[in-house]
Amino acid sequence: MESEYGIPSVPIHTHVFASIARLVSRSKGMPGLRSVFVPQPVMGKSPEELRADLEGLDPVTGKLVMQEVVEVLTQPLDVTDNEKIIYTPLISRFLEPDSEENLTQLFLENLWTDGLPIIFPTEARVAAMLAGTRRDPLEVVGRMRPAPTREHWAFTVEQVAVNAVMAGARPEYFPVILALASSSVSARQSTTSSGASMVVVNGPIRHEIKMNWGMGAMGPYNHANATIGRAYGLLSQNLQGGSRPGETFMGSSGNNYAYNSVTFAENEERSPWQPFHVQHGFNADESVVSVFDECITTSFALGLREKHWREHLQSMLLGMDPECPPVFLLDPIVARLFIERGGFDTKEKLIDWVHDHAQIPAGVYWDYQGVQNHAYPDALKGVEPFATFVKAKDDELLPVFQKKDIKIVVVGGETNGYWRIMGARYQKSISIDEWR
Amino acid sequence: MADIPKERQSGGVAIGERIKVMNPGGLPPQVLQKGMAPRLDRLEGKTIYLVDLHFNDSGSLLNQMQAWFTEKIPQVHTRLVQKAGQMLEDDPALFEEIRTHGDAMIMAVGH
Repeated sequence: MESEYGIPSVPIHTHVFASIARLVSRSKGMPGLRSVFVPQPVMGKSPEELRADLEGLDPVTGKLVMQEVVEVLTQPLDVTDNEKIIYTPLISRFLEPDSEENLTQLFLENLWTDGLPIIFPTEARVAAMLAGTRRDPLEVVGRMRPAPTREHWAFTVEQVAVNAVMAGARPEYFPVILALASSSVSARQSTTSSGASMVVVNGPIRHEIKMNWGMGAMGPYNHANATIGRAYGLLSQNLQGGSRPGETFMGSSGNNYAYNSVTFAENEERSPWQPFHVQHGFNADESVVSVFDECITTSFALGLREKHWREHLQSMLLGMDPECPPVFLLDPIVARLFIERGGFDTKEKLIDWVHDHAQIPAGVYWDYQGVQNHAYPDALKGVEPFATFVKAKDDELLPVFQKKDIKIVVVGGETNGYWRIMGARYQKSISIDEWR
Repeated sequence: MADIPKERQSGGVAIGERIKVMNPGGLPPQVLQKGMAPRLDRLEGKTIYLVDLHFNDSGSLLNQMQAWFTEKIPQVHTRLVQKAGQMLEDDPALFEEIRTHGDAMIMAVGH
């Protein structure tokens, strides 16, 4: 509004976003943008409480909130507010040589790690990692950012290799890590939900690099699964410009899934269905990695009971937030049970059933805070199905999840029929072969 | 520790020996500063759009802000509107309306 429409503006944030507001303003080229802050939270407060917050003090500046609003709109700008300045931060290729002890402290203080010990990325180790791909070390792999409000940072093959070494990965894993880096989906997103990533690998590379898709596949019993997922996290936080709580990470409680981004391979050999990557347009003999984000919730069950499996499954689904669609992670025993119980001889048939049976009244649906935050603005814009959903009467049943968001992966070693539904949002599938 | 060679006392690197490692960071973007709009000489007689981003009950906050203006600076005309689309998406129709009919904008709540 300021620069393109010539309208003076006041952005209002809650006070916990003060650092982010300042950093984003600067990164978007408007360091003089004046924000006003009210106490966190706004959500759930009564009209009287909100009025008191507006008539009270800005927790960041100590000024009266409404006085500040008036001043932001009426006080003249500083002379520097309309200068044409270019900021070009510099990043050096090497760090200053130092002892391991001091470097450990440096990496921890700069939040370049996940808090666990790393393998130091010496030039020799990075060169060894680079042998895992034929791509040029200086080739730009892609871009990432912690949130849509932030600027994109780009990165090269070599810079990805630095982070792969830190994670303890081997050169033969590097094509998978490069494919993940190229996805532009950060495993360190700055979402207040603390959503983590989830990674599923398909195709021949699973065998080549000895990934695990059977017993213990989801952790912590395999070097490739563990270090590929860890590398994805480290490269995300370091190559996107950081993941610093309060500035580039705002997850309220954090997420243990973030340590290795729930990385595993699909048990294609024991699955009665099409592999995940074939469902998404790849050939069976292609090696592919698929990325999910907003991975937060887990629900689990044992087996699929003949009498009440429908009610049990519905209960699991209706206990999930509509913002985190279901990703079924089925042991092969349970995949076969779904066929036996419900005739779901394809993943698509099970997805159809889930869509048709996970339904709630429209009044309940629209009262979810996440739905209000994200689906309602899309409804206003005319995006379907929300534009139609918002016209539904309160007691009309609406499907909680869209079919395209319901996913199924087979994983596990058949020691028992345990299975999970993870709340996570599929983003994309990427060829690993292109990064060999 | 006395019989172990000094260079093998820490996985091949002597304790205190300096090593050279590579920077784990990426390539930051260039940032070009953008201009800001001139401020208003006064609010009285002006139209301020209160734009609801529909995040975490922001509409409730703006309702109270509108009530505050009505009571405290009744010469200010306010319009409470909702922005369509996600937070970072432009709402061209609304923005044009503000440019045509408004003098200022207050937007809540950023996240």
